[in-house]
Amino acid sequence: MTLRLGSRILANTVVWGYALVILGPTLWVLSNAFKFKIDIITGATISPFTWINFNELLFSRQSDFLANLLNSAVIGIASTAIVIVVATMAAFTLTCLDVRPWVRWALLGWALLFHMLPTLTFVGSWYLMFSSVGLHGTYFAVIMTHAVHNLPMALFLMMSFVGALPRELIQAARMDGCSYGQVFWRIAFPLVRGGMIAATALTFIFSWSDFAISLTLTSRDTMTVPVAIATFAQEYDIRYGEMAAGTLLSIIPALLLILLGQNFIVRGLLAGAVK
Amino acid sequence: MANVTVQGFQKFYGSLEVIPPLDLEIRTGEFVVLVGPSGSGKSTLLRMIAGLEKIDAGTVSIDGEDITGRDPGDRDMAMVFQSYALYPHMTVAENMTFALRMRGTGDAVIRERLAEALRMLSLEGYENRKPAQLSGGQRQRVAMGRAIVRQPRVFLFDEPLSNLDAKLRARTRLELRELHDRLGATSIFVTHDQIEAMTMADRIVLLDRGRIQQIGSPREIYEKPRNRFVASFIGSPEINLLEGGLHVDGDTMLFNGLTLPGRKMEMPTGSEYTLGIRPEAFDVAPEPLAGTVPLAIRAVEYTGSDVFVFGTIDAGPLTVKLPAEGHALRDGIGAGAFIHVRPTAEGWHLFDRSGLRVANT
Amino acid sequence: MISNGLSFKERRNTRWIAISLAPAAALFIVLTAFPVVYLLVLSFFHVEWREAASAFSFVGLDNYHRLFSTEKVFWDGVRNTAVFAVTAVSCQMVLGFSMALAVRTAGSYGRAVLTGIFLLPIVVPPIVIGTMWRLIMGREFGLANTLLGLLGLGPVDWLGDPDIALASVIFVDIWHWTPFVFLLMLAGLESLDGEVIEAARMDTRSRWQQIRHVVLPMMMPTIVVTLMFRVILSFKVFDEVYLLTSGGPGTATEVVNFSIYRTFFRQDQVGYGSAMSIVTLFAISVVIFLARGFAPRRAARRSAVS
Repeated sequence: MTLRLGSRILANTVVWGYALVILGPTLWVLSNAFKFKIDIITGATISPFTWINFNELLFSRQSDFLANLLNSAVIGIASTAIVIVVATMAAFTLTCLDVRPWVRWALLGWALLFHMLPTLTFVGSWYLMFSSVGLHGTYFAVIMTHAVHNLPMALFLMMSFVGALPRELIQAARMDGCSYGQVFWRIAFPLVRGGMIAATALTFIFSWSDFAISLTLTSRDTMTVPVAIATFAQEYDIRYGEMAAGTLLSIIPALLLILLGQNFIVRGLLAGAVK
Repeated sequence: MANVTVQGFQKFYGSLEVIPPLDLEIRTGEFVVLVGPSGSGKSTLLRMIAGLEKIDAGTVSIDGEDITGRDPGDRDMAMVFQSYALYPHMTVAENMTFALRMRGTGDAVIRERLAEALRMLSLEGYENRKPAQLSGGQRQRVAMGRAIVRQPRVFLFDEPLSNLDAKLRARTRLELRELHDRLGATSIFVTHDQIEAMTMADRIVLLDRGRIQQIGSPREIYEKPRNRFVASFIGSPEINLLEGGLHVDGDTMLFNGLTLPGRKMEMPTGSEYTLGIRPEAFDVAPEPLAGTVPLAIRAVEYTGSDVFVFGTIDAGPLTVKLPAEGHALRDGIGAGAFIHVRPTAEGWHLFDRSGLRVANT
Repeated sequence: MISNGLSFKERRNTRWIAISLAPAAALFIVLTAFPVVYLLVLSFFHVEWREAASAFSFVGLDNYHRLFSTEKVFWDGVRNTAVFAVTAVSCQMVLGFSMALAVRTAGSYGRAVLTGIFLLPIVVPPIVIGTMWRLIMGREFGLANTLLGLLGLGPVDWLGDPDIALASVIFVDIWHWTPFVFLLMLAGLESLDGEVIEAARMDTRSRWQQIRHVVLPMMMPTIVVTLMFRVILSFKVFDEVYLLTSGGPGTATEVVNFSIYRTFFRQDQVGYGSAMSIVTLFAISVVIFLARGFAPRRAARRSAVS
């Protein structure tokens, strides 16, 4: 009994120690958002509280951050909508219906491969493609590339949800006279709504977090939050306070996701590895 | 009217032939049970008839009308699934009327048929519940109701009772058969349970590895098994099968020293036969009688209504079933003791080397 | 009417399959397959930018020749990426698995909160992680050096010293992804058959024997999948490096992706960058195919158990 208690204390010390290593630095950096620049630079632990960084970041003339937030939201919402519609339909067909084996194999194999290849090997090509048709820097270019980039993950995730539907349910609907499309709309779709919400949340987070694509395909007008934050850090005179404030704002979706839907995050992140 | 005719059905998984060419005729109003061990292809066959599995060769027709290429929803067949496959997001009423609504049947007809089915299945008052709020037995009835309201030409059942507990299963068996008789429908019922097959079927189709082993009434199947497989699949405890040689001594036929009473046959004697005797088909006595052999008892099982005696004779191991009540041997039998047994005149079957039943036995 | 309905429905079904798969197929073809072909074509050209217009000149295999003979930075990047992948992933696996084992056997307090905290690095934008650690590892006002100062130790130039920079970047990646490995391992451990573990407790004489002979072999599928996944994903590293060091100092933290980015977007050597991309794509695809080769064996073993 004492041995068990001892090992329990040890185990908890280790994992909560690691939790502290995650939380400590994060909170330290984020706390800078509420400090005056002078306190940040001198490393004062206890310092006066201020909203000035947020004011500067969001409402000053030199800052586009509000526009960046809006861009991230627009791109995130639009690309997520595309991904979820496309992925859910394809996942249903690939999982429940008789599709020619080579079609299945080609689509899923390519999705898996693309999912694992470095994004950076594609952005150069995308840049040139969109530039040559005059679409570089537009919402369209970023939205479509974000969509294709997150499609494999959403596809695998939705396949795991659709695959969990009993096969007999689909067969029952076929016996009851449904065509494939009707099976999807009347049976599958209402039953995987929960899964779609999960996939939506994750896809949005990935789009919101993306840096490599946005860095190379956005213009000043379509710049997203991560690119803006990176720009802060690259300036000669780094505005630490505003940077911290921007960072804090940029992790709000992630925080919401953790609070509302812990369970499916790991599942989504591993989608593609298991399939 | 619903004659179902299956002709030359064939099914491959890759290069593996799961259903060799197969013909089957099911007559109007008949209750046919497809039975066999798992992997025998019975479910596949049912799904091929339903149109849910691709047919690699052959045709299926109803009343002479070829429906082979037709969509499962356009065959006028209804199916009750093993898992019931109720739509979890629909109420009982919505589940039961779904097929009619998909066909665009009029509201009045739908309401009338729903009410009738609910009454028939004692589901009145449950029509607004979701499947998750029902007991196992109620779900099973909803699944049946979903088939009934369609008034299909053919009912297909895929082990619909296997998820019920033993008591409910026995009761539902009866109800289902009554329902079939009342509706005058044609039913094809798949099960791996020989009791279900024996109790419900007009005709049993016994399958093994995709091949029909025998088609016949329960009585024919039990009393005249066409081959070793059928004999051993049907009957509990399993039929005794003894390997050995047959020879004729004057007027008696002997199988490894065991006298086979009743019938005398013209057949080549030899050593490559299998003798099948059902456990209940023995005369048993405490003392030797004419033609008996001693059975050395290994174990005795008492089930309440019956006593099963497990033992050995010279020809091999043997199971003998005795009624528990009113038998002379009731007491005094136990491991280590001897009793004396001989097959009854009509109770034995002879199978040749290929497993086929020898004619005239 | 019935025969009409038949062909109608069949046509509708075929159409549904086409309609439901076409958008996904189109996205993949236009935005992933075509770009690879395009890269392949570009890699045989020298592209020059003259006033926002590009001039192509065919140079055959010159770009590849250059990549495999005179190039240095890219290959430093390959070496660094390999070092990065091996070191970071092995540390993550050992740390993550040990912590998961500890929690699984001894239990932990506040699981929901703990999981929430461990998810934080995983779902936060990677650029934020980079920003954070850039501030912490900053030479002058960084938390790391402030803490060292309290202990009386001199400031360390975490990201500026060529001998330390790569280790610092690796450290950040370990910090970033160990929680992920931990959560997967914990999920894996919790899905093991409890009765088998109880049987193992009856049959073994020490905790170590239990882990070595029962838990580890049963966890092998999860471990292999996680390991491959992490290794392959660590070839994707870019965001953090971009922010922390931009590959510097010198080529100390150069990674493949950053070389490609620089060649394409900062040096405008489109043809040469395409050749790099193609070589990288090919190499990683080979790694992925080799890794997938393990999969059937794993599946076979799993089905043998069940």
